Amino acid sequence: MVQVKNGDLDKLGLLFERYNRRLFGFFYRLTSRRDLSEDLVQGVFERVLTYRHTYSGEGAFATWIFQIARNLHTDHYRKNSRGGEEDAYVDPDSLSGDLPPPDGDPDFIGTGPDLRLRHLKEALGRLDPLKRETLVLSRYRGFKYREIAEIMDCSESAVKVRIFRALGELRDIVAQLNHEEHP
Amino acid sequence: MIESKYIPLVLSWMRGDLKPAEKERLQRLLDEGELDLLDMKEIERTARELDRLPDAEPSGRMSDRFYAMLAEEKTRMQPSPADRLQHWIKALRSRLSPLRVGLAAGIFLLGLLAGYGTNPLLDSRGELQRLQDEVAQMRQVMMLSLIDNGSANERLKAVNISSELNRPEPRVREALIRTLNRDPNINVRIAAVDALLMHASDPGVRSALVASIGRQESPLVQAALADAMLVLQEEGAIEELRELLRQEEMDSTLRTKIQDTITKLS
Repeated sequence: MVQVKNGDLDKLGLLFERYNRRLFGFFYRLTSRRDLSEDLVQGVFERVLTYRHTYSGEGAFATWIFQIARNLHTDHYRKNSRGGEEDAYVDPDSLSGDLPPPDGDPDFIGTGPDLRLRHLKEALGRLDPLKRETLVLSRYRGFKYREIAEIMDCSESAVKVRIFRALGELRDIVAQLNHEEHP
Repeated sequence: MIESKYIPLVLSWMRGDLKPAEKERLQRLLDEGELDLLDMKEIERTARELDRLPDAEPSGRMSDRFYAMLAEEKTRMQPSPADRLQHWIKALRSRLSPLRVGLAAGIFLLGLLAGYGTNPLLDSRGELQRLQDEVAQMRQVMMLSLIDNGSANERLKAVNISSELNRPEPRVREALIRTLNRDPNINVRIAAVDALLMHASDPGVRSALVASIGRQESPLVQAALADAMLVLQEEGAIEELRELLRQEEMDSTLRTKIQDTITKLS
């Protein structure tokens, strides 16, 4: 990134190759929309280009770029909330298609693993954005608590509490959805 | 609900990396009823299930958009020739003093005389030609190693290097034709069209460009090939272009462009 800052823009291609899938995965977990996630990844690299002069070189590049990603997602979320334009799009993949097979967990019998995972995905979408972002960074993007704290600009212990509370809420929402479908 | 002060301990238990002292503490808290094992197991199960949610993959369009943006930014950053000349004159003025210029000219003349005295001029020219050939050879090797690189940026570099070669070997031309027909990145393919245009005096390259029209699916590459056919005034491309027009889903702007190209070539 230091080389990009000094004008060697070809190196941004390397950074794109290294981070585009991680960023896409982050946005996809938050939005459940492929097209929007691709737009947001493009937005991240547009911001990296625009604000490359502000990169200080302190701390890991991954945390810097995910801070940008998080801010971009927050801006998008606020814009949508103000305009009242909630994403009505439902990704077909979120329904069942490519869901993995169960591990033989006996609790799945009778309810169906696809259904449970679908409820889990829906529950993830119902969490408040802050908890969802923290959980996604922790479970899917492989960040340590310390790195997440840096990205979210909070303490490490706050990150731990947020992740745990988010998991508890997920469990409760999944149970509620299950009850609604099988009263 | 589990109290916040116990959460780091429970998270360590979920990750399975409790130290012996922490294990004892957890056991004590469970015995005292401060923590509920059932509650903990349910949350741990939710975390495990989260890991099983399927991931999605981005489409190739995302990569194309990024590289188009990068190319645009690079073009925007390049200073105009007038700016460069102005900058060069400014830098020269600040560095040169009459004494320095005199000294440099003297050393240059001395070197020239000494060189001419020890080597006949004809030998120097031969040496220069040999060096130029070596540099060209190195460029070809670099181009051939970069053209198969996984990064579209590197492949784009390879195609640009090939444009600087005056007499490329057949394998360089073959690599460019292969790139034009098979590279997954549209920008690289378009660059390959421009690079091949420079070697179009070779009949093999011309016929490869014509044959490639029918193999392309991207409207941008098809438009670039149509432009190339106009530059080459290649009448042999008319049939391939007419074949393109038979595609029903063709973009109207591209259709007009292809029809225009056919009219100009006929």
